[in-house]
Amino acid sequence: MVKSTKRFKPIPLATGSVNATNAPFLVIGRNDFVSRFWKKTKAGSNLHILSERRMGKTWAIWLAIAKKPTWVNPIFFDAEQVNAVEEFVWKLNQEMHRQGFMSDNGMDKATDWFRRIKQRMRGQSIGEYELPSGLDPWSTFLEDTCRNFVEKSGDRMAVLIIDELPFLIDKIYKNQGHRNAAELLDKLRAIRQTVNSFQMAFCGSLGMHIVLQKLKDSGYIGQPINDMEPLELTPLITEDATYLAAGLLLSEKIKCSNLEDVATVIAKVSSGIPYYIKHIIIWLSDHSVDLVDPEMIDGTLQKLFDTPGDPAGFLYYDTRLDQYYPEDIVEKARAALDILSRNNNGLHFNELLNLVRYRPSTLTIDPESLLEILRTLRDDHYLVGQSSQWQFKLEIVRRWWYEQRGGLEL
Amino acid sequence: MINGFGMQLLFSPQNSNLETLDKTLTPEYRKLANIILRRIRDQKVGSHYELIIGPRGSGKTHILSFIYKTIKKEFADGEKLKVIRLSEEERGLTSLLDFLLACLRACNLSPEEIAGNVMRGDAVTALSAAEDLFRNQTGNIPMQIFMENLSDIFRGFKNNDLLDLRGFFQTHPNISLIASSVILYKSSSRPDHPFYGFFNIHPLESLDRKNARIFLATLAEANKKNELAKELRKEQAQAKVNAIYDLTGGNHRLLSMLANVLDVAGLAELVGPFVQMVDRELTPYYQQRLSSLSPQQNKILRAIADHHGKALAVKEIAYFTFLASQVVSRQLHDLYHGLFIKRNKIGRESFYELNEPLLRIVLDMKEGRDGPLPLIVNFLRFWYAEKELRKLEKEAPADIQTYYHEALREMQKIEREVTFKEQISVSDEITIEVSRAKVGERAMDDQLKETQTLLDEAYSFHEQEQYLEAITILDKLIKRFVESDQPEILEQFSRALVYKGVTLGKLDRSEDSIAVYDEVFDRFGESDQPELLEPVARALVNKGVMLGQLDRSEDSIAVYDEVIERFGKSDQPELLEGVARALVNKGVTLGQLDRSEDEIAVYDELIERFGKSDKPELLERVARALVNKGVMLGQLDR
Repeated sequence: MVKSTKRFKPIPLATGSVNATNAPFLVIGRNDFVSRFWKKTKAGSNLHILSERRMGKTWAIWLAIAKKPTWVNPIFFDAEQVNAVEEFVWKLNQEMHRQGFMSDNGMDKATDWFRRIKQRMRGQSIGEYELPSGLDPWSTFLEDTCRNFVEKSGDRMAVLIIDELPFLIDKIYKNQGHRNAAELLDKLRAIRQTVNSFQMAFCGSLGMHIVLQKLKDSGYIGQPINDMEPLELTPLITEDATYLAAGLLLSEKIKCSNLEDVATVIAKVSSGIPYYIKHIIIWLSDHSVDLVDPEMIDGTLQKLFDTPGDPAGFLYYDTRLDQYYPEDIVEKARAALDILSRNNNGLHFNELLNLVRYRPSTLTIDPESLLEILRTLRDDHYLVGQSSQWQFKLEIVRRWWYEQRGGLEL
Repeated sequence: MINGFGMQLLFSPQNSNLETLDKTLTPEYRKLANIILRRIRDQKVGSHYELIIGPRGSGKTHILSFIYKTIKKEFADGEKLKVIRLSEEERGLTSLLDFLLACLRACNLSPEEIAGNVMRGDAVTALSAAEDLFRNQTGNIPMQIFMENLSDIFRGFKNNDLLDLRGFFQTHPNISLIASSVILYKSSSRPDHPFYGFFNIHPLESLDRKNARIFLATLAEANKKNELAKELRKEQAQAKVNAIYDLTGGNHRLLSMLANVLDVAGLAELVGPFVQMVDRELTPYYQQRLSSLSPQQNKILRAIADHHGKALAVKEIAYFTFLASQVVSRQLHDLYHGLFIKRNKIGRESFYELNEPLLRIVLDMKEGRDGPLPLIVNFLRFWYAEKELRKLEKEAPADIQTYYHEALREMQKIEREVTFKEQISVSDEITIEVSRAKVGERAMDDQLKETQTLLDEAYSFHEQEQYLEAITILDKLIKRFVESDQPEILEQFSRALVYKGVTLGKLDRSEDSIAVYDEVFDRFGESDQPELLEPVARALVNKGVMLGQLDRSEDSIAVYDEVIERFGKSDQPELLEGVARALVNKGVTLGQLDRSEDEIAVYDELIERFGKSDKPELLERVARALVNKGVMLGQLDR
């Protein structure tokens, strides 16, 4: 929301996790997102929230929960720490129980089920190793859990919000194989379609398209999220980013030559990403700068890039390629990103293709493959492409990439 | 090139007329040629710089010659466009002056004329004079320069000289350049390289299977071999072409050479000139490239070359080179980026083969093999039926007979392994898998095959849950080979025992199962062969599971400890997998005994030991331990 006044108020620099209680005080510029979230949910849409990492999606969702309408019962479930599909079902039950949507008896039943299923999981093995006999399916238990949630919600709509779902699917894929991963996605879709008064929203820092591609490569042909409506969480608009930066500067008591000017520059160099705004201010706060003027901000960002330990976690943009992209794509994706990082205004596809071929390892890349890779990078929020012109989506990421790799002979 | 036998052996684009070049251009290459021709013809495009890159024999000179001869003909009067082609032998260039002198020579100026105008005063004066003389040649008319071996030429230039050269092109917007090169020039990807982004790069790739067939048909037509051309135009001919394709890797030059013997009755016309060509044209080039490699890298290349087009996995290369897998992996990485080898991934495993088939021939020749060249032997084997081969062998001159003889011998040998049909009728990936299987199978003698067949049968029954039938087959194998002392047979024998144990377990005959596992341990527990220790590890882990099912948890834990103790310090991934499994199972069993803290400690040990492994099998166990530990902690309210 655009602030009509130029008077800024201190905003606490949150160090812990966000929740429904503190979200309204900490989350800036997401009221519009919250309105759209509930409006679409009310209209019957299951939501797939799209955003790159660090955009503050978890915070925005907590703000949505804090500002929930009266007709809804939302449950937030963070799937990041879950390693197996059975564990997911059990921990979801735990969360339901914690939030009062499940009776003690129900929880005891879930715990007993999980204890038994665990025995199977523990003994599982392949090939010439022994395979102890099977047990009850987790899918039935998951459906029962969701139906119980609907029942406990009464007249209200039960909304299950799963954070980091793609990450969970990827872990299941790695730990338990593609069949379990695909089965979970299919089951969640089936539940959305068969259980009344039940809706779902999910989001994740890892693009669902990457996980789905892996499943497709393993022979999966389902379309498990084609009933989900995408809802994009964009960077903060300049005025909101400036308001957030100014509020954090005030709360950290950082003296500025001109608060609004400094906050405006921070908003700009951080590309409107709350996470980077916060990190620039933490840096200024930690280094006890006497008086901050706008010209210092650019150097501060540079220090964030260069500091050992990578406090703002920029390296993630590079390392995640190895982690989640197929091996034959990684090299080509890096080549494209290296070249695009040298050009603030991006490049036409043909020009980019030619320059990618200047690297021996990607000399023989063909146009179709490059286009496919660029589309993947676009779906993963690295790039934007319009009229065959491709460039980094976020200037801060382009700049970091260029500083780290763009000038190298690779 | 017309060889001494009166036939065109080597397709030589420089010396071919435009009509032949036109006829033999593949559709893909025609497309590229047309793009470049359009740029040349369109005066509005202004100067343009094209660089065609492809391995030896990929058809660079063909395209370049086609474009050159086309525009030479179109602009014959030289009024709208001047066209010059630098000699292929221009290798001693180190500066802009050298480049200009080469261009002047290509303009047909006599050495005296060039010397008289240029070779006066110092280098700066000479350069200025050369530029003037060159400008006089072009006037304001656009000029199109053709040059080959760009990377070799650039190697002679220092950075400042490259800057001068780039500067020359920038200040002479009427001059365009079409160049070719086997590889990219050094530091091409450096943004500060003077020629970074200068060229439009056109990589040439090997022909795919279908285009290889069309190319062969085109060549046959150009050589007026109409019957052959007609046959090759049919899709049914694809199977035969696939066989050649696998040998040549889709390389234009090799395909065109082999095409020449498709309908000749003997090899005499091929082999001699072929070897000469390889020796004269390729050996110096490859020797130069090979000399830049380390002894280990050379050794690895030789091992790959020895398998004649069959892709090898890292462990196979390690086996053939006596190098550690890690060393092989590291060297393969460098060889891959040096474009010596290419990589095919099947599932989690990568298979490596030579990037350029011509390199394999050079290696074959230089390895001092006195016998027939494997490439030609293989070609014969695939192309002709056995009956035809026998006929040809009889009719061939003495020195060529050996090729047919060898091809027949190979054919009979291969028939016992993988049928030709299997080899040629499948996709690339399957071909690689078949090839891989063949590598393994070659080492098997008949007995080994028998054990494998029996094991396969037993697996099949087991899969169909026909456990009694599976046991019958396994008993047959065990009885048949109980006295064997061959390591390969013993490995299969031990696997059969383990499998029998598993199958007995399926029939709830836990005690019998344990007895079989004990037999594995008694027979092979003290072996020093990793291949035999792996079944031992499996047997022990499975025995532990069986004991657990009999509620003998303490005994079960003792067995797991035995596995951990025996194999914990091994560096064999297969044995470590057994250790990891033993640890997980021990943890579970401790949990069943309500020894939660001990259980967690075991998981921690597993995570600590294998958490940083790069082996998926071990990481799977780590993941399992993490899940179990998480659950345990949850139950302990931690």
